[in-house]
Amino acid sequence: MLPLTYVLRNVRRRRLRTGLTIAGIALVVAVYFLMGSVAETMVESFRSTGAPEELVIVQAGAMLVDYSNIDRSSLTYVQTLDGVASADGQPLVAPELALPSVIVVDGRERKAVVRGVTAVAPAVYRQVEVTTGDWPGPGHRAAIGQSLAAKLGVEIGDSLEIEGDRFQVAGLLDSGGRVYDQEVWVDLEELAAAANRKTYSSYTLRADDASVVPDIIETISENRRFPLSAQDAPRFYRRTAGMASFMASLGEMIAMIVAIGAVFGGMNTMYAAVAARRREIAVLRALGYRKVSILGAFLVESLVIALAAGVLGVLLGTIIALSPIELPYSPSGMVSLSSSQAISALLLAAIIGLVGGGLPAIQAARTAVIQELR
Amino acid sequence: MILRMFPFLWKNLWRNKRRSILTIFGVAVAIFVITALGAAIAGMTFPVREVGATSLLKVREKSRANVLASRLPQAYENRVAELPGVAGATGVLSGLAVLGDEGVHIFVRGVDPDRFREVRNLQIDSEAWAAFVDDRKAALAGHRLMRRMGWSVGDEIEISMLGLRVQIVGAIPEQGIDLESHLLVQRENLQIAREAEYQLSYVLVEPAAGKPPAELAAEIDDYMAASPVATTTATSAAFAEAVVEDFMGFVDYLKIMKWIAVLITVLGAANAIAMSVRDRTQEIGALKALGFTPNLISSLVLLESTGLALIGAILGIALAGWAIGSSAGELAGLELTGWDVALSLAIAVFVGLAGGAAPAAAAARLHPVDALRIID
Repeated sequence: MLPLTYVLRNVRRRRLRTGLTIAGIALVVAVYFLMGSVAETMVESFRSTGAPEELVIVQAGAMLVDYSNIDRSSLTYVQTLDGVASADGQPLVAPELALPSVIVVDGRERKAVVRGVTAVAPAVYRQVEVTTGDWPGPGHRAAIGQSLAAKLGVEIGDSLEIEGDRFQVAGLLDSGGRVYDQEVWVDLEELAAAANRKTYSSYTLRADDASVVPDIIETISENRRFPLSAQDAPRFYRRTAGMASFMASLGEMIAMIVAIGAVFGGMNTMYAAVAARRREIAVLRALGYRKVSILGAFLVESLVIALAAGVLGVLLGTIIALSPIELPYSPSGMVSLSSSQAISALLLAAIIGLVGGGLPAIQAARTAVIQELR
Repeated sequence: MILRMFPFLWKNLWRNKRRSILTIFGVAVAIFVITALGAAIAGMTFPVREVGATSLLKVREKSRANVLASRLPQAYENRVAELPGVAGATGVLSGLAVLGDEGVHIFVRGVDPDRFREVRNLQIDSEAWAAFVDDRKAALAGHRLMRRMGWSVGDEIEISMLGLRVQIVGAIPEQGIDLESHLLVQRENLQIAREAEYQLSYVLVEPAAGKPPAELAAEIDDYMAASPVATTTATSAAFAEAVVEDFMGFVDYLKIMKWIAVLITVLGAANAIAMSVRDRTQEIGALKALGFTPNLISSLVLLESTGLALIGAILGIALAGWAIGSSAGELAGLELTGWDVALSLAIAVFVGLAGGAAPAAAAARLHPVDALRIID
């Protein structure tokens, strides 16, 4: 085997060329790392929301809760469906009025979903906990999702203007990064009065267990009296992510294409490195180094360059992610960077190195000794 | 002189085929990314561009950013129409549906035909209009929508999501507004289908001549503040901007990516060109010995690099055009604008010049004696 020092010294031999290659690959890795993280951040809250035994029922044909209006008389029908769980003799069906609204805090306006809920809410939404303070309730007591509270700098006791009415923050909702963390919850009737809504927007329902969920969905879709449509909650929230997941896949696609481009650049550099060293390779071969050693040496050289670029790229991506741009659908408003994304970015760098260095390394190993030394 | 050099340049390009092809591919991929990103940004911000500079105002429910979630009582239509400074007002109920296996999103607008036509100043042939006004189950489809869905006049279509069945009685022709890709139906029809009797999504208002829209908007909101449902009034353009604002953060990231892609292209091309000039040191020395001026030599290097970059750019733009024109691209709302194509070509020229600058200067400076002395 060729000593590693030989390889490392080669990396430093053509500084400008190697530097440019490293810079190029680093930028590619930065794009991949950043877009991957952006994509993941935008869909994470939607992907984690909803338990398998939960159902969301909306008006038939409404793509989002936002556009759904349900006649209140359907509540009894939903409550008496087979398979609906109950607690203390009360069916676990939570009527909701979820409105995409603009809330006002200290004169500043901010878009947020306001969800009107009833007293049954704590038993139905098992993914939501109130960590500090109380559940929302009559008397204009609101509970605010922890992410939204952090973005707004709102604490318990502060007041919010919602639909023209004043509400006081009585509790903080913690749903572990799910969509509820970015909502404000208030009493349903008070919200309905403030927003002049005579309908519900949706029901969240808890079934006895996940196995009866398909039956409930079918029963509801076959019902003629109320035009409702039901979905299991995980699927519903994943689908709600529509725009976010479209943007996420766009981000991922861009990252992949840029990576392909980087392979061409990497290959160019390594071919040049091989071409410039033909004689040297021939000498090494004449000295008795095997083809495999030569192949290995060039592959390692290319890997070292690519990995150095990978580390730089991840650093660069991290710096860009610290920018004050507010990312839509992000729980914290920022891009959240994960170690798994960083690892896959480094992996990508390694692949660029191997693919970009592969063909040139094979060419190097095939160098004709006699011809070159003549 | 330069012109006569073209065969020479062309041959040079193919002397190291592999390098030229890799360089062209590198540039092509980058230009593809730049163009595709531009198309994605254009597609995502289309609401802002589509409504353009109309002076029409939209009155919607206060606090409701999304028009589909806004609900106003139908009576607001007349209340607004009677205000001083209002030339005309008409209530619209909006709906959104997904159609077909491809999942095409279409906007359906329930309108009161005559009032809507007057306020919106809709251009349409009188026969289609008469058919639309007469039949409660009639619909007018924007010409873009018809082309995309493969509909023709006379077709009966079912939009099961909205519980709506309508017959297309005419196409809305090109007139530079968003209606070209929407479906117009009678308001009452949509209200019944959506269980939204006597409800509107918004009221479209035409300010009287000479009345500043912003002033009128404030007056409408003041007047409505005491009503059961308070309103927010804004120009259609401002409204569209508010919709787009929601995901501007993501668009900002796309823009950063775009400029990084430009940088990547410059670096890659510069590297490749520098390599090819370096390889040809001896040859350049020979040219100098033959009497080629430094200017001519640097022009040759620059021409070669620009040519490479342009070939790559054209390939990349063609690729992007193909991807954007495909059904998946159209579905995603991607849009290739002339501006993006021009920008991509400009970037390619810049890449060629910037990438070739240093090697060109080096080549021009080269002393023939030094160059020829190198024994390879």
